[in-house]
Amino acid sequence: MAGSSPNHDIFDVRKIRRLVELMKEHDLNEIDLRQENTRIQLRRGDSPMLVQSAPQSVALPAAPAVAPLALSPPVDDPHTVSITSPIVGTFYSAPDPDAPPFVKVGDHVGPETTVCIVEAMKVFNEIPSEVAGKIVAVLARNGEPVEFGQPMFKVDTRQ
Amino acid sequence: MPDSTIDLQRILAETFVARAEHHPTLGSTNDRARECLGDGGPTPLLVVADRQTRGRGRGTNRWWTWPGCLAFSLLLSPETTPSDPRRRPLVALAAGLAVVDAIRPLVDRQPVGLHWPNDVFVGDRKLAGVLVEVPSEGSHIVGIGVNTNNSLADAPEEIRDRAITLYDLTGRRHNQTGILVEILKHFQRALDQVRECPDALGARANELCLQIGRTLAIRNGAESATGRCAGIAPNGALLLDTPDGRREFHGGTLG
Repeated sequence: MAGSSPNHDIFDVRKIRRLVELMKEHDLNEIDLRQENTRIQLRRGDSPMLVQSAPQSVALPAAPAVAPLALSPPVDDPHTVSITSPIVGTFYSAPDPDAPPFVKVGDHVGPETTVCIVEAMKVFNEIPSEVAGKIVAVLARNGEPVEFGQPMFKVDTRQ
Repeated sequence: MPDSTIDLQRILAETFVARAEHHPTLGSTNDRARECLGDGGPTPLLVVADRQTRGRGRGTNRWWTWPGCLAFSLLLSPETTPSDPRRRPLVALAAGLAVVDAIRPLVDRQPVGLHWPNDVFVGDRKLAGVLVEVPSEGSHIVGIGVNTNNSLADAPEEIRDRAITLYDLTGRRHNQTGILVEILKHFQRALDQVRECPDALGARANELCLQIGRTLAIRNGAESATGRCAGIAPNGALLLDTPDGRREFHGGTLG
């Protein structure tokens, strides 16, 4: 936001609340924001939400950078793998508009679990997870386009 | 009364279908074909229904199967269909082309062709639709609905000005089994093309595209574009000449 104070505290309650709202809106299980020596990590799901403290509090610039970050992969973790789209198409989270989603954050999946449909030219491809683990993020939106190789889910393979 | 008699023995004798079912009423022929996945029975499996109560369409769309309509699904094994999802739209295109080839001889001097991605149109009205589902193990369920012996007089009002039937075009009823046999024969040949010379299949679809030169608007989620239709690409994608140049669309619906 133009004109915001450059000395805004990263732990501002309103900012945390906004981040939590974004996590719920985008079904993200975890976000991890870093800037220089400052880090803020929020996690939700089966365990209570945690706010991990940063080594020191430093000033953050204005807030607008938050929204795109909320759509980024939750963590850079070697145990977390992406399920990517094999084609250019349209992402569907459920088998039909009235049905519940194939999977949601917190669900455990096996390699053959269908996680979504990607449709191209009226061919509805049911996409298997191909890995075992726990869904920790849903990165695509129902009814929206996906590109070839675009991550659609994050799976924690340790769980 | 519409001729809805389906001669399964003739179909089994004259086409590549290895197993066939005919039902008076089903929720959806695609759903019935899916129930047979992994049952160990031979494929291709053909499922025909005189009436569908939940015929599939894209999104919230439904295929209206009213008396006289020809509605069927084919279950094809992973061994006979593309494992690469990028080539699967050609299977749907092959189904659309098979319907065009079967219907053309029955309709004198009428422009029978394709509307992207694979709908069969006569002029500006839809005659047939195709929808393919690919379960994660790789089988293909190809659902096809053709307006044959039904009449628009019995159709829901909202589709009367957008659809057409073979009966309304020709003023007579047709042998459903005969049409189905022709579609299946053409589809088998087109599936061979998908495997052996997919570019030729795409080129043929482009020749039969009725939208070339028209201004089309396409929407995919929040994205949209408008342009002049330049035909169907060899991979089945829609080609539009937009203000930003020629673009290829693999998904989305036309407005």
